[in-house]
Amino acid sequence: MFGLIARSIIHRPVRNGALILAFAFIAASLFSSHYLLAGASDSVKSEIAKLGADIIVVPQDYTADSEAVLLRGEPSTFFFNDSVVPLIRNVSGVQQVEPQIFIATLSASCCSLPVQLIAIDPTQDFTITPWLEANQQKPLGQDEVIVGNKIVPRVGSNLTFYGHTFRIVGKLDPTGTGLDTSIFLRTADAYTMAEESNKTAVKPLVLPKGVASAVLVQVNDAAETTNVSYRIVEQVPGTRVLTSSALVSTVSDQLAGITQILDLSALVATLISLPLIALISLMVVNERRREIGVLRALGATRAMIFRLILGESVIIAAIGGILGIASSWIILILFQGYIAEVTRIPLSMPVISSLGYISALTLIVTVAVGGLAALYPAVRSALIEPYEAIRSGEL
Amino acid sequence: MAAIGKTRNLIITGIFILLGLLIVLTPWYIFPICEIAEKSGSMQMGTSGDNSMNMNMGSGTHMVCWYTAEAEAGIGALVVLVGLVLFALPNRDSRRSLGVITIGLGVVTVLLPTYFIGMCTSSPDTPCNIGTKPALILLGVLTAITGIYLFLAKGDSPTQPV
Repeated sequence: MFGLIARSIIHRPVRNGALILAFAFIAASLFSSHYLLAGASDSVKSEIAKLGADIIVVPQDYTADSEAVLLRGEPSTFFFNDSVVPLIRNVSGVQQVEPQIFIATLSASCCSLPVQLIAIDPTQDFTITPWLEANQQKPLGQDEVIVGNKIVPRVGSNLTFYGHTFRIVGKLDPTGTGLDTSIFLRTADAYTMAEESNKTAVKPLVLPKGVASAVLVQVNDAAETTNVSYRIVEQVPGTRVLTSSALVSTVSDQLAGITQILDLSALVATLISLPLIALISLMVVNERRREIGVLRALGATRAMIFRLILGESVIIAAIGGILGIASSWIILILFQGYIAEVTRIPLSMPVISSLGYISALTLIVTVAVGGLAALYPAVRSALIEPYEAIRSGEL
Repeated sequence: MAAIGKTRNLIITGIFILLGLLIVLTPWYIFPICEIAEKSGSMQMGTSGDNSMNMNMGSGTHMVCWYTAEAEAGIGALVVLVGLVLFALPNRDSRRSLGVITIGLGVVTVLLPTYFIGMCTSSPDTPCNIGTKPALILLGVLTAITGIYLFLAKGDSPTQPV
């Protein structure tokens, strides 16, 4: 049966090639839209997981800046008074807090663009310290920095910010988010750099004492994250909270336009292709009436003929689906950086489970469309009487 | 491998001319290299507006990606030429020879931005790294695949035109 289907597909290369392309387009549109959503969402989740925080508390007036720092790595400098830190620590359900200071650099010697410095206090830190421990490195020392994956200079080389020189002691894994262009340093070094900047930098860094830009919060029970977030906003005035789900929702909103267009094009392609594929299958059945008649005369049952026609369409759809998924996957990986830049969203390759789910779903939908389109022609072909079919076309 | 007929030969000629033109045009117009993108403002180069990208320049007065773009223009022109020769001499021998040449051109198209000359090294997020380079890799791979097809495709006798 399979050999018969394969020969029949190869026998009509142009027509079947066009059908494969139509299915590939449907599959590519569907796959791309879900890949982008999953890639952006996994990217944000991976960033939050790397930061080790369940909630990020930021100044109310700088919510957009905070999102820009975390999602896109757009450097920004903003503060609120660190008197909020003990207030947040006292909120019920909070296990651990860590204040961080965000400092945007001027054009840096390392990089073509300004980068985001994140000052941490090693005594309270739960962001970098676990990473250092996992990588068997000692705690962050004086004038040492850990850099994001997109910071070009290698571990061991020096970086200069505001006239102060730091040494790179580690490089984080890629996340596709703002973390990739961030540089972590000790709060004490940040203040030293600010003091020295009056003499050494073109533009001095103003870093007031007793400030923080964001407070990372770990909660006792992850299921209680939403409730703890509400309590923080209620009990600590002038703050906003960012959670993993809120950030995912922000990028999903940003992506909505693109995914809607892709889904719509898949829908339009399906709606146009469905009757066309059905018509082509019907034409093929009419063309092959004599062949089907001979097969029936040789003992093929109606069910076999039905499976033959349906199988052909399903296999063409499957080939198109696999081709569409593979080609769009290659293009999405190659142009990942470009898509992230144009859409201004964080983007990385979705985790394997998401990727498998999206691919399987796309393939099932594509094959279902192929099967649906060939259903009527398959029924028609199964009903062909062998004698009449063989005689058809004769004078 | 399917035999190459007159129509299919014409289609492959068209594909080569299209791929060649795309290789020529991509670094300058479709996914422009850093200098062009910066001039046209087609892609935001950063938030500071500083001109620190100049540090990526090669030995001359241009950035590294400029030289890759120039070299790719030459390669693209050669791919177009292969298409034209295929149109004029569609016999089996020339097809096989042109197939091998095209595979080589495809490989060079990929290697120019990745190994031979390269792209700007200051940041992985420059326009040449996120746009031009992947586009050229894709075009190079497609060119090489078409060359492999041309080389392997069955045809008529060595001297008989198809």
